[in-house]
Amino acid sequence: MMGMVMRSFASFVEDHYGEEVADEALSTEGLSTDGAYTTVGYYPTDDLVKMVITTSNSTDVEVPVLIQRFGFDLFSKLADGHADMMQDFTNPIDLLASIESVIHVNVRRLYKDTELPRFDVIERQGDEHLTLAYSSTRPFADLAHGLVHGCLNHFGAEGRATVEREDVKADGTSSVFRIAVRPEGSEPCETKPTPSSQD
Amino acid sequence: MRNETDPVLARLKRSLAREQRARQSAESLLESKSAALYKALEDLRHESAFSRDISEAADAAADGIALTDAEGIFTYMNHAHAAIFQYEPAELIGQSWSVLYEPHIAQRIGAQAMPIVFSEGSWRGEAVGRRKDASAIVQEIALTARPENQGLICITRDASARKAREARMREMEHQLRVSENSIAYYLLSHTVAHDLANLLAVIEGNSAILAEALGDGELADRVGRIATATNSARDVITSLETGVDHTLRGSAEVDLVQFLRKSISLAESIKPSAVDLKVELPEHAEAITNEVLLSRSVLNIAKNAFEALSDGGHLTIRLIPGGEAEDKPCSLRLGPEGLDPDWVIELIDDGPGFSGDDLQTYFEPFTSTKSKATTSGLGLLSVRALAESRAASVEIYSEAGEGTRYRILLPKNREQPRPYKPTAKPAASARILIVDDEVEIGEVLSAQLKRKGYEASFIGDPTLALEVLLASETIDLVITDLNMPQMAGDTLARRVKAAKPDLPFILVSGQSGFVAETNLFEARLRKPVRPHDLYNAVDQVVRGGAPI
Repeated sequence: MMGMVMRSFASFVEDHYGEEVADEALSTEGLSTDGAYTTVGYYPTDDLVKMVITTSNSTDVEVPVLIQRFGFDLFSKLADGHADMMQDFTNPIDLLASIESVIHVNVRRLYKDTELPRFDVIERQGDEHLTLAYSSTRPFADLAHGLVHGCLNHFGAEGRATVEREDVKADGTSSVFRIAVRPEGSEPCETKPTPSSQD
Repeated sequence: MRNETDPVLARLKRSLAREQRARQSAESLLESKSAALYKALEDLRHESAFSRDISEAADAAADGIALTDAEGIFTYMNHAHAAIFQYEPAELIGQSWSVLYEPHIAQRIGAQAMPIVFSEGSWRGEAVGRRKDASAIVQEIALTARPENQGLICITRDASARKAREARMREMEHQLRVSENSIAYYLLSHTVAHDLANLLAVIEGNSAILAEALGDGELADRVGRIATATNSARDVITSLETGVDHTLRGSAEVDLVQFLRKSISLAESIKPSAVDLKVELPEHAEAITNEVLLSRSVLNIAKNAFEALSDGGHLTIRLIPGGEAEDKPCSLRLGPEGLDPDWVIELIDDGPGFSGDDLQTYFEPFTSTKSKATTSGLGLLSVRALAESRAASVEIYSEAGEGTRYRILLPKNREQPRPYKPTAKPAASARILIVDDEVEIGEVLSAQLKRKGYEASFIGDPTLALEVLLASETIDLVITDLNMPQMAGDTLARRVKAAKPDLPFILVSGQSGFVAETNLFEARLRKPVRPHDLYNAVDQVVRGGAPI
């Protein structure tokens, strides 16, 4: 797992649940570096899982929800950190459809050893409908879910969008997301609360 | 002041400690990444330099090199490739390869060559391209598929020069073949003439003896008719010989330097580019020889060397004074032995050479050591004819794997007639030795001379005659045939005169074209010898007349 994700998680916990909870997460027993992470390092995925569980226990927020919220938050951090890359996209469907072919290609240029999940486009209809297949060796379908919402929020489309998730595997390593975005100016749709609104 | 048990202070300390460890970890990672980056940069510099070298080599290569993308569009082309088609590289990069061919040729390449490239990885062949000025160009092409279906690598060279050289080679081979026919006929006619002359000599000599013995009368008249018929037969022999290309007969003074320059110029027109030809000539050189036979010999030897060296090698042609020519090993010698040459022409190649068995048959008509699958080949009959004309001696040295060396030894230039010292004895008592491998001729000449009062004797083996002549002080004159299997007549004369320069020799030969142009003989007679010609020649030589 990239160190940037670890630090982002610590930052997310501190911002949303306070310094004390963040301290508890980073003090979790058995972390590979005793909670000292750099953005440029690589760390065991288990470290993140352990910190998520600690945080969930500390906050009584369920793990899937906590991870989705983190994904929502993570997207904005990624977007801020790579503003130049974001300039090429004008709507969320374009960006989500280009994760594999454009964004991950650029990520590998910066972090050649990183192991990335796959986001394969199953079907796309213009800028309104996209069926995206997530697969990974890690159980982070919830994180992907949060990232999708983070993306919609980044482009101001959260209120016009619906995201249906179908878990292909129960362990969180494979899911399909059906994303619909209505054109700007159309009526808001009724959606489930987004991860950010659950704070 | 917060105390040590203050949980906030403790949390801040833990956070600080984590950040310090993270910073140390980041610094450590930074150092290792920096080192890796430096190494990667060095590797990149090396690869970049290597790529630049490869690129420069490709740019400077003599062969045409081009790359196309998967659509057949040129993405790179060196100058040589563009120049073959009279373009600059920039004019063709970005264009389809098909612009270099007429549509039907491009279609054929696409239909026949490309499927092989994509199924087998490469294709090699020839094609007729189209230059910028629309003229045709024959090119050799090697097409190779680039990895991952990225297009083609095309290596090409202009085959026009090679084609033209091959055409010149075929033309020269045709001319040499015609020439070899002519020389074969020449050798055959002289062999026939020689044999007929020997038979006629026996008939004519015996007829003359019979006529003298019979005096007048019907029988003497009938013997006279035999002599008349013999004379007519002599004319038939002359006709047979004159039917041959007259340029193949006799010898003349030849400007060797000019002659060799002309021959080498002809040879260069068929020289493969892989052969390095080195020529060493003096400023002036002249010799007495048959220019036509010598020219064809040099060309034939050079042509055979070029074919033997088709994959590359060296041929040296040099003309060196006889005095500077060292004795060298010799696998086969043709022509006069013991020749003291004025000039030696050497043709030395470092090709595969050939074995002694091949060497024996190399000088037969239409014989070649080359593969019958590739060419019928030409023998070196001209070399044999040159040697048999006595206008040169030829030494050949060759061993399989060691190349081949020809040495053409040209006899000394025409010498001024030596003052002849006549025998002090009365002509009729002069002792004459006749040397001829034809027993009948030897005996009849001996009988004719005895009837005129000379002490004539006959030896059929010239090697035995050599021993006798070197040992004897009583022989006043030698009459010898030219072509004898054991030793040629001019060789016999040369060896004897080396010890006894004043002993006169008369040459009696049945081959008018094969007269050695040396000063070895005080007189030369043509077989069949008319009796009065024989008596006159002997009388003149014995009495001290000028050489005939």
